Amino acid sequence: MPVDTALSAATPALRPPASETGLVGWMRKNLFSSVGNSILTVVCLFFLYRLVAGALDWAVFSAVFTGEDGSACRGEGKGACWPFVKAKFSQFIYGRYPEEMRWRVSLTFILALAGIIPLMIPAIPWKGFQAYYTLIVFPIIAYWLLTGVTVPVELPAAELADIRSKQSWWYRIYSDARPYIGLSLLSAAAVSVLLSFVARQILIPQTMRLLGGILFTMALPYLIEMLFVALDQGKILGLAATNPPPGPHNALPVVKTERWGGLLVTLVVASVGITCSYPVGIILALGRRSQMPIARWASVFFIETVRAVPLITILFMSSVMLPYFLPPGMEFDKLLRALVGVALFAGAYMAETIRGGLQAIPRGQFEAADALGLSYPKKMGLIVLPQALKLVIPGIVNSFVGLFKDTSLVLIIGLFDLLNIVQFNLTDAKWFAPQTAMTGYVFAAAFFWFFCFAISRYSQWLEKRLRTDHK
Amino acid sequence: MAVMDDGRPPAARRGASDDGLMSIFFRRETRQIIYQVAIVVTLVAFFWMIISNAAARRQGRAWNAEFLNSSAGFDISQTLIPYSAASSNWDAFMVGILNTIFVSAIAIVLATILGFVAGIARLSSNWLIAKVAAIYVEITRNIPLLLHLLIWYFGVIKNLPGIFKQSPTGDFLMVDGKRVPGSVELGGGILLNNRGLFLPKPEFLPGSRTALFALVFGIIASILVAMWARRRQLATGQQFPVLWTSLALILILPIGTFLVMGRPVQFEHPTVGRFNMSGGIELLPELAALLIGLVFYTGGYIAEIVRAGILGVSKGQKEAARAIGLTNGQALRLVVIPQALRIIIPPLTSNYLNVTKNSSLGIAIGYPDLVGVFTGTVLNQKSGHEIEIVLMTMAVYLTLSLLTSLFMNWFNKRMALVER
Repeated sequence: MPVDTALSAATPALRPPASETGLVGWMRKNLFSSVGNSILTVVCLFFLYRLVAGALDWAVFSAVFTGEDGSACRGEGKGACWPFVKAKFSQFIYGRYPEEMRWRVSLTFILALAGIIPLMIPAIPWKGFQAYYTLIVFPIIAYWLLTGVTVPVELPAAELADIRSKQSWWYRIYSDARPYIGLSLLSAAAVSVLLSFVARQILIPQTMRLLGGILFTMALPYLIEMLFVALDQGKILGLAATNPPPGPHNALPVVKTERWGGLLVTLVVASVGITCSYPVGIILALGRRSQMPIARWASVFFIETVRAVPLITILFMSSVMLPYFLPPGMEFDKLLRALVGVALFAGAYMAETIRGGLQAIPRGQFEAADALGLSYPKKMGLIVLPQALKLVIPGIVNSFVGLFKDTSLVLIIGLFDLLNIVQFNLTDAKWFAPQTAMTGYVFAAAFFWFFCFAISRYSQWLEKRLRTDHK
Repeated sequence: MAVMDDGRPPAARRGASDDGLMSIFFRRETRQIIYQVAIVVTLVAFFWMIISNAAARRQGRAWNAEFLNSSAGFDISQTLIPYSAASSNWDAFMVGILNTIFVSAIAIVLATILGFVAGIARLSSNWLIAKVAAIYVEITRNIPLLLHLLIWYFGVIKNLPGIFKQSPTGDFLMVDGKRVPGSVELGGGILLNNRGLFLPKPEFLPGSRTALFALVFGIIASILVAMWARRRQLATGQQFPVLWTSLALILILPIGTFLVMGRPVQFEHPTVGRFNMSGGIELLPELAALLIGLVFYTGGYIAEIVRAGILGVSKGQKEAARAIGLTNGQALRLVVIPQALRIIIPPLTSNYLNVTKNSSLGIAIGYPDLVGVFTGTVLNQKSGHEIEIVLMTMAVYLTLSLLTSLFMNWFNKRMALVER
């Protein structure tokens, strides 16, 4: 009898067995796929439980959250001492910067973010402007904001003549011309930029605009100084400064670098390091690939020497030896010594990163530039370096993360970065308790971890994004 | 057009710039010579200015190494060679170098083991193990090494129990009028407290030499067996259980000799005196903190290098190995890792160099390595010789780095893929 073997309708598909899907299925495949794996999973879970439970207990369950001093944290079985962090938090950020002046530091942070955040987002146009602001204008403003502005003092004539007789002739001319430098440079910059739009047959517009930019940058310190002095003396906005003290005083009080500390110093050292390492690294990398033997030897010698020694020895060298390298009587600011050391160190490592980028540029680019008759500066500046620097942007961000971590080493030469401020505050007798040290260090570790992790995630995202564009 | 083959353009097109004296300045070689002369002059002027300023500041102090012979005047907490406060500065220099090499060597070995384990674990098929390894790597790489050291030293080791049991307010617990020892006992006479790790000190009695000879013999024999087994495998294809044979030779033979000779090694156990520990071998807490910090930090970097190396071997290799019947473990051991080593070893070597350089951070927790002893203490005491001291320290690190680079170049040449 004919059997209907053909189905008239498709049978609905059966669901997979319960042990293959969902959480159970995933666990079977990933955690318990074999005997060895199962044992490993169980052992690992056991250790994880001990570790995480212990850490949570220390940080949350047994921790002390309120208290006025260390006595709240002393006791059997107490965990982290969080009131310590809360009380010292502003010191961790600002160091010993005078309280009433801390708005200057906050303003600097805000101005920095205003420059960096647009730079980090590739979609925002006019990157040239952003780079100019972040790398040139902002450092000048930040320097004056953080250190302070001195008013040129009006001295009685006899004393003035006495001081002037001791100065060299060029310094006398300079101090005579000083009040006029700012405005004259500014007008020269404006003239240059205006001309760039006009006489195209005679002048090269880009060069004129570049010249205008350079002149404006040179004018900027003087303009800022004039602004603060005018604010101080009430000449702007009709605001007379409230009873400016007579005699010599500061338009914006000078805060010596000894009082800077905490996150301020860490960020200053890291950003100055990375910014200065860029030109130093480019010059060294180009020198290393140069065909002139002397340039090549000098670059190789410098790069290999700096990379072979620990950062500590470079910091020691700069902090101990730099004063030797100046004429007797002149002193080097302590922070400046560390900045010089860090900039040289970062420059050598940046040189290697950039060299990697230069090696990735196909030879055809160099040969085509030569065939067009471009000179070496034009070849490098217009053809090679733009491509190479774009390739190494992830490498540069990684260098920044590494430099940010390495700034903690200035602790050893006595500067108060974030880590040293935490350690310094641990000696405060008011907060003495068994867990204070660990609390402070865990806070610092959490901060560093968060910052570095965020930046390295950004770097990975950027790398993926740039590689797609390159195709 | 007349062909004039002296390389100059034909007369009709020659301009003023192609003739005459000025034309030598338009050649690239001339410009390069000018630039190089300028660089040399700048460098020479720079160094001359530096040296003359330094000489002015030194006010006629001699540039010699006399200070190396003068007595150091300070004690060092860990010395691998005989040293006392009366020893010369040169001895302090040597002590520093040996301490640096000591801590670097141990840290390199342990960090490599940890790094390989973490790197391979990160590629494991077990999700939990892979994630734990990933978290370990991410945490240790994003925290500065100095912070690692400070956490381990001040946070952990200084919080270990003291040599006597104390109440939280600092009073000693007294039992029968004597203080109660408070160290953590790790078994076998090993004591752990906040003054360090105290191990029993072995004393080698006369019979122990034979056991030592047996050990050396076992090692040599196992190397010879391995070489013979390899040759046999290449010739006949038969495998030989080299691992078990080596283990037997290295372990069982010396231990057997040891027992037969009547256990000729005695241990001097560390004991607690009235105020101090005495006896036994003392491992400084600074050394322990430096080692643990370096190992954990470097292990994270090595794990990333190992992971990149194993991922860099093309997948087809592993699939082909499985296709001819090798198990996962054999494929990893015999096919993937030898090729991965080619990718791993150059960055690994530069990481070893980083370990050596990072050991200089011991100065922050008081470990007497080269930077701590020489650039730290000697520099503070012998002010006026800073430049020599810093330059000597840098020279040592330069030498170590050069040796490492030489080794790496030799290794790269040996292992480089010879493409046809």
